[in-house]
Amino acid sequence: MRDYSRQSKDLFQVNSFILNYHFDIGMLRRDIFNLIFNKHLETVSSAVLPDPVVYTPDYVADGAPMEYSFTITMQSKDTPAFLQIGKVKLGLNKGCLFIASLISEREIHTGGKELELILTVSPQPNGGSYAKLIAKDQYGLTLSTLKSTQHLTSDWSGPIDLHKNFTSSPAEGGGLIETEPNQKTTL
Amino acid sequence: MNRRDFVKNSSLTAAAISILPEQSLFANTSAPKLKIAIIGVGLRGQNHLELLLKRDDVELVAICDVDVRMLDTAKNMISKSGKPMPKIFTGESYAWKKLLQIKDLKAVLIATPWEWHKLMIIGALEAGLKYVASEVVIGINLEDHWEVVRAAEKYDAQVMMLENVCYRRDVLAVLNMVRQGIFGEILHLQGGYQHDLRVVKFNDGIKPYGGGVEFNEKGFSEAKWRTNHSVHRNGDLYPTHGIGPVAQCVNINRGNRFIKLSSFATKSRSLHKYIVDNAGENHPNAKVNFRLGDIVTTTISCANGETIILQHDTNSPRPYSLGFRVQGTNGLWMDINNSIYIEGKSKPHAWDSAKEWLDKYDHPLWKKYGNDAQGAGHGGMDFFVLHAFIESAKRGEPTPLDVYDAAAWSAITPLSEQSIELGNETIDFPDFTGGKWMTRQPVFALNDDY
Repeated sequence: MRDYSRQSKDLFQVNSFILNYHFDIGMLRRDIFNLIFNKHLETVSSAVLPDPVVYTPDYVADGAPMEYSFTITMQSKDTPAFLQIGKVKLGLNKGCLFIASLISEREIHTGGKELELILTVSPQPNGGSYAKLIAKDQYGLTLSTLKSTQHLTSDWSGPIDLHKNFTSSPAEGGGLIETEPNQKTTL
Repeated sequence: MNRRDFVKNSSLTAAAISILPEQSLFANTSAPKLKIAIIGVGLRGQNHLELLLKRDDVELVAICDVDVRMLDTAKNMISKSGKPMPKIFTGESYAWKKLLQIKDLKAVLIATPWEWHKLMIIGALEAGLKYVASEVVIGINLEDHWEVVRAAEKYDAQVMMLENVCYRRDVLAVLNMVRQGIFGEILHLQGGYQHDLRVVKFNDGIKPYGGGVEFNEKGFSEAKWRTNHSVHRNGDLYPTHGIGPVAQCVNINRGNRFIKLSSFATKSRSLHKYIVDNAGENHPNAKVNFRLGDIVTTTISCANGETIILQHDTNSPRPYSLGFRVQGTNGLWMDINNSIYIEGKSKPHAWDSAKEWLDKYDHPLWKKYGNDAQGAGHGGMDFFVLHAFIESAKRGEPTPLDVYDAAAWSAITPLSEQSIELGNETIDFPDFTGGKWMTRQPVFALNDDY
């Protein structure tokens, strides 16, 4: 059981100390605390510091995002479908989204149906970028997403090359296809 | 005159209606009666049946169900009403297809388990029906919703999801207030389905509510099919009661649309606990692994900058509440504490009781039909939703809740499932209108007609 009588006695002693001590008007609370409990004064700088300033943080003061949309018909999940935008290669490999070395853990099963890849690149401070790659099925259902901050905004600048490995359907042809942002390209 | 023209001339129409005897709207014996059929006469279908039997402007030509017990109850209701017995279709899962071949059938009402809705809606459209009413929801996956939309467009037919809460008295009064600018510009909305359904999801196989922990084959009524969705799915499984009313406040699909959605689910505990508490750990159902999180929270953003929060909470012990909140730049309504605050009208930082506001802004529909709605299911709102469908069909007008509303509201389920599956990913909301949302005008409950 707690010894409340002891606790009351301690409190009485503290209160007596407060009542008997001479406090200067304008003393800081920290000083009073130290006087009572540490029984010594420390010199604390009382220099006036500037008030904090609220401003739009760097991480939201960025440029407009760039959005690209591509439509791909996957014949097989083992058939890689990828494209290169500037210096960055991205797409689908073994049914998983990838952006450069970053690979999604989620495998997409398309059943040979049309798939839409949407890439949004948002410029970030200090030249960085935030890229989001989304795969949607023909009904607009998001099947998988992958986000990357690995690249500079400048890495995404340059020609857009869309590659495809046609091992499963060579009749459709191959090579590079150039696209523009917001342009749908069906392979 | 199409509905748009009708709406444009609403003042003339309202004046014309006001000089007609009120009863003539659905008791005009000289007008041809609307030939209608019901697929599914379980407990929900029986609600609609009861209302149809009270109307003199419809002729119930057929009913269909595979459950003999439910069918017998429905036949008893018809006999007691003194109305002629309709054709009965039963005996096999697809007996409804034969019902749809009835000559001169003008409209059908579907009140079956969710997984049948898409098949039956599209089946009815393919059979040539121009007016199809379905209980919520209209499909299971996103593909289902697109198929229903495409079919309605292809056959130029009306598909109305019977979202009755859009017609709840306080909901319509608040919509009236929204349209009169009382709340200012709308910013945020909340709704949901917070209803302890444990005694619906489990029963003794004899009574529809409680008394046991059986479901699927051993269950009865909704426990026979609804509980199975809680076993296999994790998302907002029943979004339309919450989203329908708030969607009307911000004109979704008519100048606005849903843009993005993300969902979060709690762990699943309460259904298992209910089984153990009521039947012990050794009951076979105590081994069932329920996927549905007890509380699922979904956030939606809209094209015009509003946000919406929906909550699905059907497994936990709690009183019923749809949890509505409608908030604008001038103030807000919250149904949970039945309160309203309007800046400059209410005492600062104090709630008004909602009653005075809701009475003052009572919707013209309720003023006109409040007496007719007395005794109808779910506080009278079942009367209004059925009335709207029948009046639309009788007049050959578009239904006030259309296939795009049905798809957008109902598709929240598969989208929320997918968001949770992807780790609470924010996912895009498809535009079922194909861009028409930008030019479509509001038509719902603009006057006291239907």
